[in-house]
Amino acid sequence: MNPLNSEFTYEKFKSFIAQGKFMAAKCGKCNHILLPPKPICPYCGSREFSWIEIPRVGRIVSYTEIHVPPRGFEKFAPYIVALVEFEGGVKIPGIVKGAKISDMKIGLNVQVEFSKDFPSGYFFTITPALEATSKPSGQP
Amino acid sequence: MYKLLWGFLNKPLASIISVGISKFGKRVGLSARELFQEAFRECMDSAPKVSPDMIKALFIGQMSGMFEHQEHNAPIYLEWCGLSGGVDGARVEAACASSGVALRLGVTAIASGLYDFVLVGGVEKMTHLDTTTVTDILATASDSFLEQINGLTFPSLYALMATAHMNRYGTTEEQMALVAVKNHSNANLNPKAHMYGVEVDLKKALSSRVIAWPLKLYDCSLISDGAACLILTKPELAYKYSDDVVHIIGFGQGHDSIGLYARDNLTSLNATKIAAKKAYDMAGVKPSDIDIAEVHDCFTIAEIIAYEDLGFCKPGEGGKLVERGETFRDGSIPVNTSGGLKAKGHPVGATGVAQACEIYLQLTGKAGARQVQDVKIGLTHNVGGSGATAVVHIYAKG
Repeated sequence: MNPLNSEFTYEKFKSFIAQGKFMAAKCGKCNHILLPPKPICPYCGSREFSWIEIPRVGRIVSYTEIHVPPRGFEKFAPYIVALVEFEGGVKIPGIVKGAKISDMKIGLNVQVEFSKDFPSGYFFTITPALEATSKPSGQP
Repeated sequence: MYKLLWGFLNKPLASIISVGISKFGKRVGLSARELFQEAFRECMDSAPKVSPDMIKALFIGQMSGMFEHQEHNAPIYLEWCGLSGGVDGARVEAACASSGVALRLGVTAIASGLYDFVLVGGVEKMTHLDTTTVTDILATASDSFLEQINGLTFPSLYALMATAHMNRYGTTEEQMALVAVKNHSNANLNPKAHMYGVEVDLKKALSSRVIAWPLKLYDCSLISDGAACLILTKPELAYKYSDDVVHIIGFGQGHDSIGLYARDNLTSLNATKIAAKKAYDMAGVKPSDIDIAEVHDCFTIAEIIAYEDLGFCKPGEGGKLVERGETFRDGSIPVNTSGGLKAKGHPVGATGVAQACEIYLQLTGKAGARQVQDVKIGLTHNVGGSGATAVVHIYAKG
């Protein structure tokens, strides 16, 4: 492997998603969690990372309902997209399945599910409690 | 105090001596290069002492060649404007901030001392394509890794900011709609605005169809065709070539993550704060010194957030600022007298320079029916994408 390259790539992140794993890069210096992974930490410049598994349950920090979809998303429309924050502060957007806009609230918990039916390979469902939270497992 | 002293303390960076703007709107049968020459001709006609052979550089903002399947654009604009092959041309791309960045480069070129006359422009041709295709091309300015792949569009990215702003500060859909009402009323005094002649009241704005909740049709800027340009020169040459001079006294550019999801704060654009601080510091002015501003209202919530990030009010009070009427033409800080992106139109690559043109017209007393009285210091604020780029310029009446 070219020593200038990093295994902390988007392609690798997607391959984890395809395996039903929600993995992120954790900076070895400042502990920031990067998702998708980046080869150089934007917070401290470090190039030392390890993979960590993100807990399956997170909290909605914002949401919207898209009525005018981009190409390829017509079959979903209208659909809700939420921005979800996970333990450690990392945030990720995703489609929320099976929810109505009138039920949506900032602060609700969602669970990550994996499915090839979604272009990103994952979606969120509203989940009542945080008990499903698992601690980051460190190395995969 | 600053207003009186800046001219003695600071030498302006560059001076605008002429501007030209095409009619914005659905310009059926006209391509980007033809729209640009429309703006260029008006610009040259307004500066009879400047001949085309005096222009030695062109910086032109254009977001995407995908709209017309045409890249390699700078030489085309030179050719269609009858400018010589000896002009140093460059197209600048920074999504919707393309021509704001082009202006910054033009100012830098003049300030370097290497050029006496620089043409800065912006252009986009969009309305010949269907909305889905335009939405797709615009979405290329968002993050492909996690945003595009989850079906996020630009309205929905700003909707995520709006939901967070409403939740954190109590900002209302009515306050956002009021931004649209204000900007439409300004556009009705601007014959070049895309929505010139279209009346929009609060009821019409609030009852329009949802695009990305909580944003409705009238919260969104327009898909438009249009072009704008201006001539920059050295401050010491300006009065020799024009009686109507506006100086650029400060600029700043800032950046942030391409993805909205990678930011700590959803209710503010850090790139704007960085750009504004640089520009205020360079110009030696404070937010309270600004008499008039054109801000990047790609969505109504973006204008409210811009008030806060530019320091026109405290964080969270942007909705109340427009509700109190402060940013209307007769308020304490009129914003988007041109009609803004919302109602003048948003041919994305043209927007940054079109904003500078409006400030030039206002500071030289040439803004016609929408003229605001006694304005001396102006500001423009141009944003790329969901805030990965922001550019601020500060202007002083010559």
